[in-house]
Amino acid sequence: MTAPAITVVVLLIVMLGAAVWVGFALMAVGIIGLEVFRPNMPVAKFLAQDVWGSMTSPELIALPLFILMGELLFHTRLSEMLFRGLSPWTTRLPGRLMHVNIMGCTLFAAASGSSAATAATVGRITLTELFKRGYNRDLALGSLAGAGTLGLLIPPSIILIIYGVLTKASILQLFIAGIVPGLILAVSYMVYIGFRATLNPALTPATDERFTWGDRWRGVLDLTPVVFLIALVLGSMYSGIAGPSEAATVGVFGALVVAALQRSLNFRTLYLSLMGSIKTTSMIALILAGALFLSKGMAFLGVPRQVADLIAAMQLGPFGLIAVLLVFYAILGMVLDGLSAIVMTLPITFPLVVAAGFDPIWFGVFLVVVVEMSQITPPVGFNLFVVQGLTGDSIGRITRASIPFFLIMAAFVVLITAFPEIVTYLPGTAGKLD
Amino acid sequence: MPGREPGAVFPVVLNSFLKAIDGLTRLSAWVAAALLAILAVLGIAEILSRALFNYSIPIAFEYSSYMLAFIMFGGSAWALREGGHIRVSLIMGPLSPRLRRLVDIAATFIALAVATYATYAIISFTAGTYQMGSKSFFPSETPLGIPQTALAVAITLLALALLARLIRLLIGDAPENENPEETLEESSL
Repeated sequence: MTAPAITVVVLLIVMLGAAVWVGFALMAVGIIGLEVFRPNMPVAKFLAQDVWGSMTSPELIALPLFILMGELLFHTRLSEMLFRGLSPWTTRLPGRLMHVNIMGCTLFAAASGSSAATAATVGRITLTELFKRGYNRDLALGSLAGAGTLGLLIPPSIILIIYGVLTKASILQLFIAGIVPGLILAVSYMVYIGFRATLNPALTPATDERFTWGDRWRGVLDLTPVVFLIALVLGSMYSGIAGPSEAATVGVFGALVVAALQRSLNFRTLYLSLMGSIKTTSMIALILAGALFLSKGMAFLGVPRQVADLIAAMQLGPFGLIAVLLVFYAILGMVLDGLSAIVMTLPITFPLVVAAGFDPIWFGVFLVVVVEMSQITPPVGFNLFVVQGLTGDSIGRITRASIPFFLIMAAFVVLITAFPEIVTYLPGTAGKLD
Repeated sequence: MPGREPGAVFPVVLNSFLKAIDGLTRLSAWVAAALLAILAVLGIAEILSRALFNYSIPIAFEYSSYMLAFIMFGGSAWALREGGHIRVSLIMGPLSPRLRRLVDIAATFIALAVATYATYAIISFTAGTYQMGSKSFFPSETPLGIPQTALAVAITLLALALLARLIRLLIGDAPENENPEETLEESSL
C-alpha cells in the first residue's frame, strides 16, 4: 500500500514545478490526498482547525518578534559600524580585512535569524570597501556568501524555530545547540582565508592601513550596544531566565535602543521595519500552515510509515541513512529554498532519523547546516542572489567563489556526525546556572 | 489584450474592483503591522510587570496568540501583491513571456482554488464556533469567534488577492506591484 505516498510525491512535484506558491502547493496536496483516500473525513473542518491551532500556538510568538529585531537592526547604520569596529582588529591576521566578512556575519547572525539578511547587511558595506582596496574579488564574494549562511545557524534562527514547531523539539535547546557549531564554522572560514592569503600574497593588497589603539577602542565602543544586546538575548535564554518569545521581546526593545543611540530611529524606519517583518512573516506563515496541515494529512494517510518501510528494506544503518539524507537534501536544496525543503520533508525524515537513534536537537542542527549549503548552490541559492544583488557579478562566478565554503560546511557535517557532542554538549548544560 | 477598450463600462468597474482589493489588502497589512507593534509592547509590559511587581498581566498570554494569528496571515494578501511569497520559479526563467504568463495563470488558478477552499473552511469553522458559543479556557472567557473572524477575514482577503492577480494576468496587467515598498530585499531566509 504505497499509493498515498506516490500520489503525494507526484502531486507535490507537479504543483511546485508549475510554480504554485509553496504554501498553497502543500495545502493543495494535503486536501487532495485526504479527500481522495479518506473520503469520510471532514477535511475542510480539519483544515480550519489546524490552521487556527497552529497560527495561535504560543511558541510561534518568537518568530515575528525575532524577524522584527533583525529588521530594526537592518535599518540602522549597523553595517558601517561593523566595518569600522572590526577592521582595525584584523590588521595582524593574514587576509586582513577579508575577515570582516566572517566576523561581521557572525555578529549579525547573532542578532538576526535570517541568512539573506545577514549577507545583505554585512555585504553592502564590506564588499565595496574590499573591492576599493583591491582585495581578491572571488575570495571576498565567496566568504560573504558562505559566512552569510551563519544567520541560519547562530541563534536566533528562524529555521530552528520552524524545526522546533514541526518536531516539538525545544526551541530553546535548538538555539543553544546552534552556538558552538556556528562559531566553529566561522573560525574554519577564517582559517581558510588565512591559509589562502598566506599561500598567495597577491590576494590581499600591499597597501598597509595603520590603525592606532585609539581607532581600535573607538570601533569597539561603537559595537558595544549591539554586542551587549546579543549577550542579553542569548544569555537570558541560556541561563533559563527567558524563553524564546521573552528573549525576542527584549531583542526588539534592545534593537530600538541601538537604533536610538545611532539616531536612526524615526517613524519611517519603524514603519519600514514593521512592514518588512509582516512581509517575511506572511511568507513563512503560509508555508508553515501548509506544511503543518500536510504533515498531519500525511500521518493520516500513513505516508511516513510507508516511506519508513521502504527505507528499512534498504538496511542502511544509521550512518548510511544520514549519508543518504545528506545527498537527498543537497539535491533538494538546489531547486528549493531551505525552508521549503525542510518543512515538506521533515514529517517523513524526522521519524526515520529518531528511529535510527539520533538526537532530535542534533538533527535540527545537522539539517540547518545542510540547508546552509543549499543557500549557496545554484540554481536556487538565496545567498547567491543576495550577493548578486549587491555586486552584479554572475551567479556562476559567485557560485565558483563559494565552493570552498560549501566544502568546509560539507566537512563540518561529517565532523558533527562523527562527534555529535559538538552539538549536544552545550544544550545539556543550559538552564543549570541558577 | 481583451477588455481594455477605453471608455467601456466594464474595465472601469473592473479597475475599481482591483483598486478596492489593493486598498483592503494594504489596510489589512497595516493592521497586522500595528498588532506586531502591540505584541512587542504587551510583551515588554508583561516582562516588566512580572519582574517589578510580580504581577502577570491577565490577558497578555492569551491575547498574544490571537494577535499572532492575524500577524501571521493579515499581511499575506499584501505580500502576494508585493511578490513576497515563495514559489519555485525555476521553470519560468527559460520560458517565453507568453508561456510564462500561461504558467502563471495556471499557478494562480490552482492557488485561488486552494485559497477558496480554505476560505470556505475557515468561515464555516468560525460560524460553528459562534453557533456553539465557544469561549476561551482563560478567565477572560473571550468568545473564540471574534479572533477567528479576524483570521477568516485575512484568509478571505488572500483569496480575493489571488482573484485580482488572476484578473490582472488575464487582462495583461502586471500581477505584482512594480514599485514594491522599500523593505529588506527578498526578505527571505
